[in-house]
Amino acid sequence: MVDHVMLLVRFLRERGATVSTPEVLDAVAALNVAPSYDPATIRTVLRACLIKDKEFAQLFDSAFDCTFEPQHATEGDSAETAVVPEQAAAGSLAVGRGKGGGEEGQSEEGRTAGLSAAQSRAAAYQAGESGLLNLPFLASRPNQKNQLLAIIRELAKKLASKSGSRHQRGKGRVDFRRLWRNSLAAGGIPLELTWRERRKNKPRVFIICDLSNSMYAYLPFFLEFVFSFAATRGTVRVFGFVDSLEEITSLIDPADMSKSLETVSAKARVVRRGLTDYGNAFRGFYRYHREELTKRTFLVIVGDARNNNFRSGVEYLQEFRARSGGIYWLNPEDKSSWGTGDSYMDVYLPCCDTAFPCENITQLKKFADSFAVK
Amino acid sequence: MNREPETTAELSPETLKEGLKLYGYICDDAIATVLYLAEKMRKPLLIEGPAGVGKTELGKAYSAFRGRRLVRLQCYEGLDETKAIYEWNYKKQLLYIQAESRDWQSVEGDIFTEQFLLARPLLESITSPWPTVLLVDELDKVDQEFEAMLLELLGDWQITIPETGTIKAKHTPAVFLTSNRSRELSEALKRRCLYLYIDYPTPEREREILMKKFPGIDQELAARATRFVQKVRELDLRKAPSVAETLDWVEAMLIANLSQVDQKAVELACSTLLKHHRDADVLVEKFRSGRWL
Repeated sequence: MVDHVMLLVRFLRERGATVSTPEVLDAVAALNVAPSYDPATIRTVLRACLIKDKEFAQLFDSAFDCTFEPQHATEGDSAETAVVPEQAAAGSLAVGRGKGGGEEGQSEEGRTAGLSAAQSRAAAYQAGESGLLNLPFLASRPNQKNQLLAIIRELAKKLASKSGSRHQRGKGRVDFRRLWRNSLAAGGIPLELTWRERRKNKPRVFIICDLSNSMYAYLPFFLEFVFSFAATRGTVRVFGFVDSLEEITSLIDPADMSKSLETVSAKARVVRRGLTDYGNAFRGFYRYHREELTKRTFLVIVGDARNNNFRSGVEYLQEFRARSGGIYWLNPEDKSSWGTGDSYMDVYLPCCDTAFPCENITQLKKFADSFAVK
Repeated sequence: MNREPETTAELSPETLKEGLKLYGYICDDAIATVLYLAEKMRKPLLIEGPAGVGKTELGKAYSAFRGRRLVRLQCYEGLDETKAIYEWNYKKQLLYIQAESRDWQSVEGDIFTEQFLLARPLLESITSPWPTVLLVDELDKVDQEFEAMLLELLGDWQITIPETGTIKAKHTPAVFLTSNRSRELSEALKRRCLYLYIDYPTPEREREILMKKFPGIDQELAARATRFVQKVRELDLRKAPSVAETLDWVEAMLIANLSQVDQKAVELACSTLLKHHRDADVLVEKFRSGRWL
């Protein structure tokens, strides 16, 4: 039985679920006290111990089917029955590995018989992981896209929690009013100093994104990242434009970015003439939202700065910079093509605190690191 | 693990299921099994699921069934240890010092003792002379730092107070943590818990819940109402109706003396089952568009 569990755990870990050793111990302990040993119960028992995230429930079910299906293992399970599922599971592992390898275009390597199973697995896994980190978003195939999104979400979460711990509590100015009030309980003797609570630095993040066709394929990645990252740190508002600007915060559902983008393109009034016009979008923002900019507001502009040779509107951008805490520009194009053709990036660049090329996860991470320092 | 067992010899998922039913909670096999495990292994149980599927109710029903006192900690942003674990009753300490008016050395040892300790829910649940059920509700609302404070309690069933030392649990409380998944909980916490995801109930279970809550209800109506709600959940809604809302809706129908799911019932549903204007529009439109049921 323990063998089965170990196989299952190996399978789960391989597919990205985090299963720690104490959890495995729990699982085995749980099997000892399990009320009965029919497959459904064992499944429930193991799932409760091993999987702590709903997202992995499906993975668990398929893994369980692979490892436990052929025999409904009972407690008296002996070595001879344990062999068969071992083979079955090993086979299914190979299939899973082949698939994983295929995604990176290295299926042959994954299937090479010469390597031991563990070695090839580790190799495929590492290649896949670092490969994904540097894989340009646009070059991703649909199945990789979901993996990328998952990594992005994970990354955003990590960064968000890292910056959270830097806040220190207390110690600033003495809050005299509360000190006085509290001292009454002790007959007017101020026994305990009361400090004015320092306001937590929760920045507001305004995201202005270019929704034109040239940008559309990037947006799920950027929004996924900026949204899940910034939402944990403060308030996020999103504005979209093609040639006129509209707030689209309410149309975006953080749980499903691609669907939200469909809603946005169906509902938001961001297109008048149909050609990207940064100048007009900035003017729109200046007209309706400039009063909302404060020193604790950060602007993140997502776009390729390809302006179809319309007016640049750079004077508005300067104004935004004076009013806000900082302007960040995320550009999916490589630095070498900034300012070429109808790209106005060279014009906008002096007004931005920092601009980043962002076509893969590693670059996104750089942006996040600099943003987290604020 | 090697603590003296309670009177749970004859406990099994079936008896749990039956018992909880007596206290108004209908659970399926998976829930009963995990609950049974949590009790057997003395592990905290982390319950996740959409709002209103009965996560909190499970804790309440369990405490009623096992005859244990329920200690509930409602989490919110900014909750800290003085509200969740313990606080020194310093006014009382002050009075004591004044009343005693002995020299400092002799008083010093007295004032940081248990009689000056104000127990908040977490401490209360482990110092209680009887076994308790600790329900930490909506854990995702609280900051990550607070989560870390729970770890000592959940892993070792003890709380360390700097001034006095470590307080061990007299009886291991049964712990339920609920979360709406508005934020990911830390791995460290998850590792210490068993995990249960409660989803919207199956039609059979939901009907059973209806029959249980409204004993006089017409079988036919219960079945139709359940089917209707299941359909509504399949629509593209902002907020799918939960069990609690189904109950509200059926109650409204009973009050209005409706015996079938008709135009009027749908109107009621718009204000009980659904909580968004847009959702209500979707429902009404769908209902008008033809033979939906």
